[in-house]
Amino acid sequence: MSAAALQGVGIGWRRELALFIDRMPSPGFVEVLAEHLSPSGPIPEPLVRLRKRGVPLVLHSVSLGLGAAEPPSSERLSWLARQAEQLGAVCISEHLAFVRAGGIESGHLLPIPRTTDALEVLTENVSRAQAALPVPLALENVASLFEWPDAAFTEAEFLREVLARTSASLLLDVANLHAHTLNHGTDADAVLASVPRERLAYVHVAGGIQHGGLYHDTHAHPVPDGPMALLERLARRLGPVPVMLERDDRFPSETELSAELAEMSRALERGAAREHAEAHG
Amino acid sequence: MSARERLALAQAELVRALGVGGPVPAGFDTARVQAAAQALIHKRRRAVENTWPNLASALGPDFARHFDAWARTYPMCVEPDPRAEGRRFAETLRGQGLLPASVSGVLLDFDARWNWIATGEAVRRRGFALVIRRDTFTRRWQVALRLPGGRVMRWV
Repeated sequence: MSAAALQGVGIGWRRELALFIDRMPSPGFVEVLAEHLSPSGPIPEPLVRLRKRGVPLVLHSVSLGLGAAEPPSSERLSWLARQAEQLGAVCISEHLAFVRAGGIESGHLLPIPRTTDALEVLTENVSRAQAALPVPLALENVASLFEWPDAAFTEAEFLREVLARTSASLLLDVANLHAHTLNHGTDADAVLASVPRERLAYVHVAGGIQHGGLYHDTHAHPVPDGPMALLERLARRLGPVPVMLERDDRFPSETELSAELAEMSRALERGAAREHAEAHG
Repeated sequence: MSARERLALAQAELVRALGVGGPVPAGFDTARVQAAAQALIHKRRRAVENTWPNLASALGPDFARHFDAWARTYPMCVEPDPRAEGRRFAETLRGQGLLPASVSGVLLDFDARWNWIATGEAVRRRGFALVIRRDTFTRRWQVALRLPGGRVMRWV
C-alpha cells in the first residue's frame, strides 16, 4: 500500500464503540490500537467482521517511542510486526514522541526537542523500525502542554525534515496541531503547507478542552471548531483526505458520534469544493 | 558525547520532572511542565479508578489525594498496566493501615487470578493457584483457590 491509499471517513476502534462501528454503513477505514490487542490471543470478533466487510484496518501504536534516545527494542518491534500480520493491517502508525527514559515510563506521548540531535536519532530509529515492520509506517505529530527550549526548527520545518530524511508517511493530527496553535502559537498553515499529498497517510481528528489557560487533547470531549477548520483548510490544499475520529473516554451517544463524523465529511467537502473553485474558476 | 547520549540525559531529566517531581530542567516553562506532570498523574489515576472501581469507591474522596501522593513516589517502570498499578497502590495503603477493609476480598480474588510483581507487571495465573494470608483488620485467615479454567473459590 502506498501512503495515499486510504480513503474516506473512519474511526478509531474501541471496545466501547464496537457496536456503533459494526453498524456504520461504510467506514472508510478503522484504526486499531496495538496495545489493546492480546499478544497471544485471537483478534476480537468485531475486527474480524470488519475485515470480512473489506474495511481497511490500520494498526496504531503508542509505545514504541520512536523519538527516544534508546532505539526501539527488537522485541517491541517484532511484537508490533506480529500484531500487524495477525490483524491484516494495511499500515502501522506511531508518534513523533518518546514515552520512557532513564528507567521511568511516562505513560504518555512526550514531545521531542526540535533539534538536529533529536532528528538524527529519530531518523535512525525510524529506519530500524521500518526494517522490522511488514507494512508501511506513518508518523504522527503529537500534542503537548510544554515545549523544549532551544528549538532549531519550527514545527513545519521539523516535519519537512522528518519527511525528507525518512521514507515514512505522515499521520497528521489536526487536533494536536490545533492544541499547538493555542498552547505554543504554532503556525498551523505553515504545518499544513509542509504536507505533500503523496506522503500523507491519513488524518486524525479528536476533541479536547481548554483548562487552566491550556488546551488539553483529551479524546474525551466533543471536537471543537478549531480542528474541523484545519481539516477544511487541509482539504482546500490537497482535496479530500482520509480522516478519522479518535474517542477514548466518556463515550457519547451514537447520535453525537454520527454527527461528528458527518461534520468531518462536510468539512472535507467544503474544503475540496473551494479547492475545485480556486483551481477552475 | 553522541547525539543519542545527549538526548538520553535530557529526556531522563525531563521524565523525572514529570513522573517523580524532580527539578524542572533549565530552559523549560516550569508551570507548563508541572501542568503536564499533573495531567500524567490524572491519566494514571483515571486508569486505576476504571480498573479498580471497588477501591476507588471504598476510598471515596480520599482516593485522588492518596493516589496522587503514591504515584509520585512509585513511578511506572514497566509498560503501564492499571491492574498492577492499582494492586501496588492497594498494597502500599495496606502497609500504612489506610486500606478499607471492604476491599480485602477483592484483593484476594485478584491475587488468585494474577501474579503481580512489585515493579508493576501483572501476569495471568494458569492452573491451580492458592493464596493464603492473614487479614490485617479481622486477623482472620483468608484463602483463595484458583481452579484450572479460571474459577476462584474464596474462604474468608
